[in-house]
Amino acid sequence: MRAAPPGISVVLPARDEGDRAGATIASALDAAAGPDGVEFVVVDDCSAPERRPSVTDAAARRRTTVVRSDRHLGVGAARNLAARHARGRVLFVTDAHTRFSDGWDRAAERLLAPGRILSVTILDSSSAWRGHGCRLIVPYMGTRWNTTVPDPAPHDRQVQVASSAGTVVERALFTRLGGYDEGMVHYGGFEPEFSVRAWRAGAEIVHTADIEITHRFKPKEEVASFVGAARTAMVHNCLRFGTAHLPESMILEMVRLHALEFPDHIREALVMLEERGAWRRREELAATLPHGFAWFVRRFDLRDQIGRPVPED
Amino acid sequence: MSQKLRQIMLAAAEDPATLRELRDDTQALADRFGLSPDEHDRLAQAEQLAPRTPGGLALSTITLHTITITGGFGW
Repeated sequence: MRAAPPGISVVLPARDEGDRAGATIASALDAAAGPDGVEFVVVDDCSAPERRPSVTDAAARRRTTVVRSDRHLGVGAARNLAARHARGRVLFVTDAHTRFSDGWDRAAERLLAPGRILSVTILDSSSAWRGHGCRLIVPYMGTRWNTTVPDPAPHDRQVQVASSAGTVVERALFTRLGGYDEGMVHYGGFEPEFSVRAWRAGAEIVHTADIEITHRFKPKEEVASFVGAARTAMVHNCLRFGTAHLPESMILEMVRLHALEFPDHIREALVMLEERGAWRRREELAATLPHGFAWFVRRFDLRDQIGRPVPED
Repeated sequence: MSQKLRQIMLAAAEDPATLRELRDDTQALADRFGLSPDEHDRLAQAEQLAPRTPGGLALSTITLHTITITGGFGW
């Protein structure tokens, strides 16, 4: 007899994570109120052989599916692939280097509702810092963390962007939204784009302090080389995000901003933008989403990054 | 407008002179592509936008396979 499908699928992209993936899964199982209702889908995103995700505990292995990609997918496509292998009604999107708070599964089931995405509280594993979702920075197309707990009133618990270290969403809604944008490449911009698209699609993103994910932030000394290698992809993803969503009057401003900031990367990013169909993406979203970006701007009284009103078109 | 935008962005990808105008001589770019004064003003003001924290870090929150990069935190 085939076992009943799990209620929650925890989806983890893992590139060179090694035994961190197993420790993340162990944490989730230990902290779950109902571990039998949880499965894990790990996408090994073309890790080096010695750094492939490792799950050594037998009980954890029984609940875990590892999908290996021989091609480097990037974080968005890896999460989408994990979601396609998931069987749970609910997806818990996180990273392979996190720890879960007690009762996270029950809280997720209690707080989730049709059309609602949960943004969970992110803790730093090496300090007292906490992040409560993010807000969008336009026209740069980056984000800033919210570092205060949102007001308990339901409307005020809505946040612009859920961190992909802790995003909870019904699998059916994730599928309907199209998952993360696979037109983006490798690193950067996936989570705010997904969140803005979700809002424009009629979903809501609600923050909760009842679920905490403790996240390993990369040490400062590792960041420069990592970001240096990913910079062109990050510039491209920001440009694609803005081209898909921003009012036309801000798009060229966004491009110039990135040209000034990243002169060594802008040309290649613009080539990729055209090759990967950013303008077609804009048209598709405009034709299919019930809300325009102007609706999102009004909903959050969004200003540009120096406090000016965001134009309607 | 979107056709004009796409044309400018394509030109900037293919032609170093256009990219240079986009960065350093927005009036020349506006003249060449027929941008309105309002469109040019907005473009010219882009350099006032400071996508950085006081500490000089780019304002982005990017959850990666192994890291989350944040403005002013988490490095």
